[in-house]
Amino acid sequence: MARIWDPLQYGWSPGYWLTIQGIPLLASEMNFGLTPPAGYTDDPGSLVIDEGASVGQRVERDRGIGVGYPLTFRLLDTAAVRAQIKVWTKTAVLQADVSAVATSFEVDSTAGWAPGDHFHIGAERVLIDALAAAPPRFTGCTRHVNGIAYTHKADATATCRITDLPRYWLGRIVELWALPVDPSGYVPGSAMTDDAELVFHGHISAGPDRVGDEWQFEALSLDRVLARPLSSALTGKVIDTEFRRLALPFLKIVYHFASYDFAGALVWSHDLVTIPMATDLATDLLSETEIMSRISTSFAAAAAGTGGNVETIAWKAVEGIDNGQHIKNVWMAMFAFGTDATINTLHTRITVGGWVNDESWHVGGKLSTGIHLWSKWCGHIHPGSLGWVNGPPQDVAAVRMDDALGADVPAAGFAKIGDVVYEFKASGASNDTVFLSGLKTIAGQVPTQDLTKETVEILRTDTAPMPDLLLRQFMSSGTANLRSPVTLHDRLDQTQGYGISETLIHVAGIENVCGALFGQTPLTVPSSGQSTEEALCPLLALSGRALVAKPVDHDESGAPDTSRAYRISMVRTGPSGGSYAATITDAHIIASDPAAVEVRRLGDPPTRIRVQGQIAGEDVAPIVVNDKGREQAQSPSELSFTIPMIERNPIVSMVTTWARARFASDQSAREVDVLTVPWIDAEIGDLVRLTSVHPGLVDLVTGAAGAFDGVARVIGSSIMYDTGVRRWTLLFGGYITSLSLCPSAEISLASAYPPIVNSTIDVPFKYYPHFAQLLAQDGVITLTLYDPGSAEQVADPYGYTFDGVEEVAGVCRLTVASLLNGAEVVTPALSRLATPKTATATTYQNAHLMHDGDGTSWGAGG
Amino acid sequence: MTASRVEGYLWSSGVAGEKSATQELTIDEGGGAVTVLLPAAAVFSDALTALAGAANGLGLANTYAFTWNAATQTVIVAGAGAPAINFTLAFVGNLHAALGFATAAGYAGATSYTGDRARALGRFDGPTHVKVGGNPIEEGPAVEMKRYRHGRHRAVAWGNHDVVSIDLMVNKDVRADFHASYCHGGRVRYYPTDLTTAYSAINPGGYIDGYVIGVADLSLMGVSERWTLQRVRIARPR
Repeated sequence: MARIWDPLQYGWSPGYWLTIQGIPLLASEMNFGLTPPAGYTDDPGSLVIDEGASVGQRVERDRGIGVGYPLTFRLLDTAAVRAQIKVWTKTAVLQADVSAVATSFEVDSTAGWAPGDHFHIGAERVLIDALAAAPPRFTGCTRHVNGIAYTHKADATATCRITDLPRYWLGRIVELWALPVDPSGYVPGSAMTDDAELVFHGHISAGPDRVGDEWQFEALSLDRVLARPLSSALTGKVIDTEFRRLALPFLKIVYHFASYDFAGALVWSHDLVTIPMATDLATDLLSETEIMSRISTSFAAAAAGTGGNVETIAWKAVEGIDNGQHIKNVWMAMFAFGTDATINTLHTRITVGGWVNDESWHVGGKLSTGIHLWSKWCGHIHPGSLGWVNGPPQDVAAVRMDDALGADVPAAGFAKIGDVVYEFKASGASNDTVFLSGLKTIAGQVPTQDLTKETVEILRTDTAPMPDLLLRQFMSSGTANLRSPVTLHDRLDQTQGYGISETLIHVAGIENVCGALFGQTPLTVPSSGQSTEEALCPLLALSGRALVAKPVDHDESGAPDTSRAYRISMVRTGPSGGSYAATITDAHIIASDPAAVEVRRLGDPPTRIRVQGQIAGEDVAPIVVNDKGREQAQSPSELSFTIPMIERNPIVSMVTTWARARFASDQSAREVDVLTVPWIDAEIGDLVRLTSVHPGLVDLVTGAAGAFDGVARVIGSSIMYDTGVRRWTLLFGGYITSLSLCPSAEISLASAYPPIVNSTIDVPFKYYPHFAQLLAQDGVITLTLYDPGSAEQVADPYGYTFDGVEEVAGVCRLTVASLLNGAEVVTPALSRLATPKTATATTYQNAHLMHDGDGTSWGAGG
Repeated sequence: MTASRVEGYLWSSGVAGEKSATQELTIDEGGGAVTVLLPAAAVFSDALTALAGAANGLGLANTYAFTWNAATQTVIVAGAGAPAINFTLAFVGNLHAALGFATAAGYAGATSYTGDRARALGRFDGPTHVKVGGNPIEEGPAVEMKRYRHGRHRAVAWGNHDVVSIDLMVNKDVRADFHASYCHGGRVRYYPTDLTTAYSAINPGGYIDGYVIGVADLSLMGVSERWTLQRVRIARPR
């Protein structure tokens, strides 16, 4: 697919148009004469982007993320623009929560509104089909007009105010599209989206500001969203450490009291029927104090009708033996009765649900006010089982939430109480109170001090393999799979993710680049209070990877992606790798600019890399790797990262490897800025080949200047709006001239011994991306089989061709297509698969993989 | 003075339907319309040849020719055969205007069609319509060139280019079309003479192939104002 920049070399030019989320106005630089997208009205000539310098981004290697350049644009003060920017005239206030798919909005009043009106709520624009009363509401609504849908929470404040024009512009999605315009001014296609290319996707960060007689906006790139902290942690204060139970609204407690005189005749009897928790919800959590209070209150009300015979109920904690178990803190009910010297015996029967307790008491004519008869309340039926065996739990806390969002507390997770991070195994919410149970410190200790009145910060976390963590944070909206109908990663609560549509995320690229590194190792990271950039990108940075937003041209397996959609993806940031995407020559370099080629040394390379692990925000023992030789010769220079981890040991070897790779490559690495024509087909994260006679470019292998020919990683790329000049920031490895790798994959399992056609062979997962790329490039993988230490069979090596590679249960599984030179014994955990040393390798292998002869490739000709 | 002329480049994405401004047309011999695609960007004359080649590679009954008639300033699309059969000709995007046809859709009922638009926007011939000045080629400002490094000359447009200025005269009859044409912007080829070889230091009458980077100093010539003189600055790849 031709890029928007390709025809510029024949005098075409880009023409830009822009949309803003929820705004039905399409602002364009010129009258393209094309049909705008559905729901938009074109306002030709209203867009001015001359003030914006360029579009593009640069990878911050030490932060593991690309930083996109902001976009500054202006809208002329046209009637159409003015109509959107002016203050709203119609308002309503949302009265009940609305999901992202609901079509009815309950409001305080529909006065002033009419069917066919649009309203704005947050960044969403909604079309009203009809109005309804009792309660007032908009019905049949069409959601996410000119944008995307959101979940809306009603809290009867201005944040849930509905208006007929936008209340604010900050945070709205901005998309800038470029259309090709030929030298005669003709624009191909019939619709504005036909040949358009999305060149910027971001969010408004400032504006509209009046500048001169225009409205100016500033927008941050899509990737900058990932620097926004996810929802702040839920906070509150511990109000008690009592155990909670779910309320039983329908629980009926029946008390039967019968008194007898000395002759055995009945004096009086009363049946008191109570439903003590009738006003509670089944989801309410009640402490024992609260349950007892409800029982007491309902009892007193019922006893009022006994003419003073039965008075009150009270409670007492006792210890004893019940059913052979030593019990503590079991609550006993104590009843008080009116004075009556005629009564000799009293019979009580308490029916709690299905539990019945009959007891008789000899009072000998001494029944009087203040004398309490107590009934063993405990049993094995809730709430008869008030109390605990072996004492009250220490690992519980009831938290009064600050922001009445108790329902958002995760079922299990981490909470910082006072200064200590505790893991809790279960939670429950009741009104604005949250009950946490199973509290233990990271070291596994139950709380040793009274937590009452301590401040609480409930840390929302997610545990999953790295690619899933990222994808969930990107897509989660609070409505399951709203943003991910295909990939199904939208599964976290509202405000735990950025709610980015899966169409803006290069899932395959992230899974391939990231999965190759971390496999299925689960990590636990906070998903509140921190941004993706803070929580996850340091780990990516350390491993030589970064998140970027870019037009995606191919996925990591090498398969082309012709849509060139602007999406969040992941790239490697090291200077070396496999194949390169494009070649930059002197003919591409803009020679009129004195700064067309600038060579820079990297910043001070580190002599020490320190990795501070954290478990749910709690520091654990750090990992430190030193470049001792350099540290001896130079002043120490530390580069530190904070990364999430569950266990320290599995990550130590990875960190050590990454750190040493960084020490090695940074000593001679250089950055080179090059200004070129715009139509070079490569993007940030790609490898490109640069051939130039520029004297500033020195081949550090040969020492020759002015005859440079090397491969570099694109770590920065931008295009200037007005001229189309493209600026590349390239990272060269200097002394590191490695082509790629020469894999030696240890076989862990084969489906048949010896393997035959259609057998499968398992090797470690880390080889998956390489073998997947080999297969994508040549349609077949050729690998030789050998056992370390055995005599090499050079002429006719054993081996296989493979026509399938997949990830299965954490391993890389290859499917045999044919045998090379017959069957051969395979020994699990000993035999290995490697790149062929002879011309039996495929074209891609020959060109890009080393063989073990002298560390070079065979070249494209084999 | 020998005949001078100006030709524009017609760009092609190489993919039918993609950024289709000057790259495709359809021919229907009765069996359904088939797309004739310009395989790659080409200067006007070469594009006609390439379109004919593309049409004849589609297995159609006629043998097609796309020719330029300098006298009438028209493109003729003709199908030959024994006998030639009638065909329907239609254009996609703006190719009809570039080739000098009035409409994009529906030329039917004949074996040959001649451009019926006032002007083809892809080519203007002298001496009637344009005159590429008698001493047309001037190197760009040499002083500035020396300011740049590495022995390169100034690259005003893209990459390594020389800048040349051409004095161009345009007949008022075609002035409006010329200024909206493919010869006045984008990549062009200016022939000061009828030499079909490229300009060089030893071939000063050769054509200049480059990018229009500016048009300046427009002035009307004579009392009749029949001719417009303008200076076209062209960046020429070295």
